[in-house]
Amino acid sequence: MSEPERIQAGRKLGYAFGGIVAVLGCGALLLPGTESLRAPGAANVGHEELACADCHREAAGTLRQQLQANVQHLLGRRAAAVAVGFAPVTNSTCVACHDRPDDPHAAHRFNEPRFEDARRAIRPQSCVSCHAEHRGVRVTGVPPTFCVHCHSDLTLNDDPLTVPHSELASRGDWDTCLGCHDYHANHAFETETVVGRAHRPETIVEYFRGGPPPYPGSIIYPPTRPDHE
Amino acid sequence: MNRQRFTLSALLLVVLAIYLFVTAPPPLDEADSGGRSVPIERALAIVAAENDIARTLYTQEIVGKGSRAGLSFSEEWRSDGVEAGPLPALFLREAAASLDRSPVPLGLFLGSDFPISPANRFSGVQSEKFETIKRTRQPEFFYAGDTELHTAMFPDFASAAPCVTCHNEHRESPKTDWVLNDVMGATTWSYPRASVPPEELLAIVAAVRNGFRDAYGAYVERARSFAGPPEIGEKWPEDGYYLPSVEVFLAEFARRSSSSTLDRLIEAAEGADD
Repeated sequence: MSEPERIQAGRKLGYAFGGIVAVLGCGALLLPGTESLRAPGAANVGHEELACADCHREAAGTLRQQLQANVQHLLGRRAAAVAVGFAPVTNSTCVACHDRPDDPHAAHRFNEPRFEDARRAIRPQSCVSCHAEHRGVRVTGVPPTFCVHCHSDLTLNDDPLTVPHSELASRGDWDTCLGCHDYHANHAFETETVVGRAHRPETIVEYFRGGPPPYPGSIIYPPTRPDHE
Repeated sequence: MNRQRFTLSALLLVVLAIYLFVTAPPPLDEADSGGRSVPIERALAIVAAENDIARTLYTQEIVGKGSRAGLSFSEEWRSDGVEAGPLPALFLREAAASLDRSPVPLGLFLGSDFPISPANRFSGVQSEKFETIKRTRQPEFFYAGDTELHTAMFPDFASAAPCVTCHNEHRESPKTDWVLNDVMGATTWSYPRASVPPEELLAIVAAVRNGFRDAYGAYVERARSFAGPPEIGEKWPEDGYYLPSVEVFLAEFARRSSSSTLDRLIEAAEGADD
């Protein structure tokens, strides 16, 4: 065997070895119990026990059907593209466990045209805008002052607060809102009326980061377990 | 390129073309592909008419007569210790929440220029359209670009006495001189497609009716837990401290709405574009 042939054979052997290691490595990542290694980050608070498939469901159709549908879409012969592999995680995925019949800030309500400015600013119509997964926290993407996007002209005729809502709004004290109000109203407690007794903004920030809920009272609608029908 | 490599490449291309274009497995369904279709404006007019009938029934027969029979209705109806039913606006919100849970991508919202809750005040394009609606008392249609939703606003008339009295007497009401048949607000409906095939239109109507079922069902469920629950069955509040069951309520709704809805559905199907 000549020198160039030996080099060529060694190179082929290297490629084969590398390929086998890569395949074995990828295969090992598909074994049960390795989900956390594949996740892009730590599960958010409360989601630690969920399996990948609880949120990431397989998309409709076979891979071939999905690819064909998307080729047809690229050729202009089909109106919509389809998901390949796994279906996107949408509000429906979240609501499957977190359905709350009297949520005052249900995400779907923000699809109404008048919330266009809020949609541009914080995309409240989508659960993951504020609860992006795999960050190891509770709330993402918004500062605790986000109420300003919808409530800037807040005035109540019969305001129970020691400092009226309108005054807090005109002063720009938007970091005080969540000190009294639970955004999704899922804790059973009487709303505070003495502004000085509201939870401190830093407590709310800590809650966003995954700290304990500052709101007293029990959870009104505990999450249900994912349905795998 | 030598002959062997050319042959191999051609074969690969043929295999790829077969894989991508020969639909041996059937192509995935696409809701609005081909066939006859009904303009979404027409579809939304049908469900808006159904909504008017359901809310008038609820407002007149349940809230209005129920209040006189001893039943209570409140914004806080779901709170612990409150023995009340949903006000008409909240009845609609319950139906809207049910729609959100359904696979039909229909949006439903209620707003006004003088709402009791400031959070329901129109702004932007809805405010402009609502000014026209108050003048013409006719619906307005537009396309909301950022959400890519075909949108319709239908006038919400003060069709029953309780609408007027409650809004005039509410401590947070910004307007207290409402009279019957005023345009008190508007329902806003949205849908992601410009037209729908007749079978999709039927699914939309079914989802809206299911929303009424869920909304009224939630109230009946709540009423069962009252310390002194009303009798739930065949009788209505006009007879006393009673509530119709969900089935009785929906049967009365169907009696009032089905004939006109069927006419509209037939008209829509006949006028559908090929």
